[in-house]
Amino acid sequence: MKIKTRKLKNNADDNLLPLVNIIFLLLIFFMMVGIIERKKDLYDINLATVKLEQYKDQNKTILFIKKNGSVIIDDEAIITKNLQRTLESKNIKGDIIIAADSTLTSLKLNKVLTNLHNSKIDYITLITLKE
Amino acid sequence: MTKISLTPIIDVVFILLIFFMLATNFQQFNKIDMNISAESASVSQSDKKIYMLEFDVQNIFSLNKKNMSLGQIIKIILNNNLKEDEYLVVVKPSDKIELQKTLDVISDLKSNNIKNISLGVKNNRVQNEN
Repeated sequence: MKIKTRKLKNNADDNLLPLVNIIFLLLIFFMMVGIIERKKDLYDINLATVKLEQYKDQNKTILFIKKNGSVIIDDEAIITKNLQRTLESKNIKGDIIIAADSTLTSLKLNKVLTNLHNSKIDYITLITLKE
Repeated sequence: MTKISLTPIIDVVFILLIFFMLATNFQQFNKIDMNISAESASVSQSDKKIYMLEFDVQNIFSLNKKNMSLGQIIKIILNNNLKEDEYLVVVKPSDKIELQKTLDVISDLKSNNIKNISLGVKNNRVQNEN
């Protein structure tokens, strides 16, 4: 009886090894280099750009100001005239982080800052994009 | 010995790769720290030298109501050789100035080692009527 000898197939997987290597390297790169964080929801706010100090995540309240001057705190849209009351009800004191639209006019920013000043918040950190 | 096929591994690795590519955020933020000072407060800080820097949409700058360029303003502040706690620069942009322009001016001041900068706000009741 003739015994069939199975030819050893050229394993196509062997050619995949360099590909796997590269993919693994890319994977490690993205795992190591990338700062995985909850992407900041900027509510369509285009931040201004400056060259100054780098911002590091802080556990402080972020106050978003859109270009029409509307304010968002803790995912909640707030009318400017109610801002002071909201800050007091949320017990926000001391310093605060502001993410404001780059096209926001001084007049609109002034209204928000006045409310902050009246709520005894006199120190702000404006976050911007890195230039 | 059973040989493990590489194809499913590649599938998984590709999915992981796509996940990390999408989840990774390379965007970096910068920050500007500053104080807010109301008009009344800045006047009361008489122990400090107050520099009131105002500018408008036409790029006309003024220091304590005297028109001059931003470069000249920076020179004047620096030439006074005051310590950080001996002066205060109150930046007061006109109403129509956009934030980017204000931050450009503040950024120019800070990069010239002028640190004690405050953003001036008009402290009146009209501001709250919105």
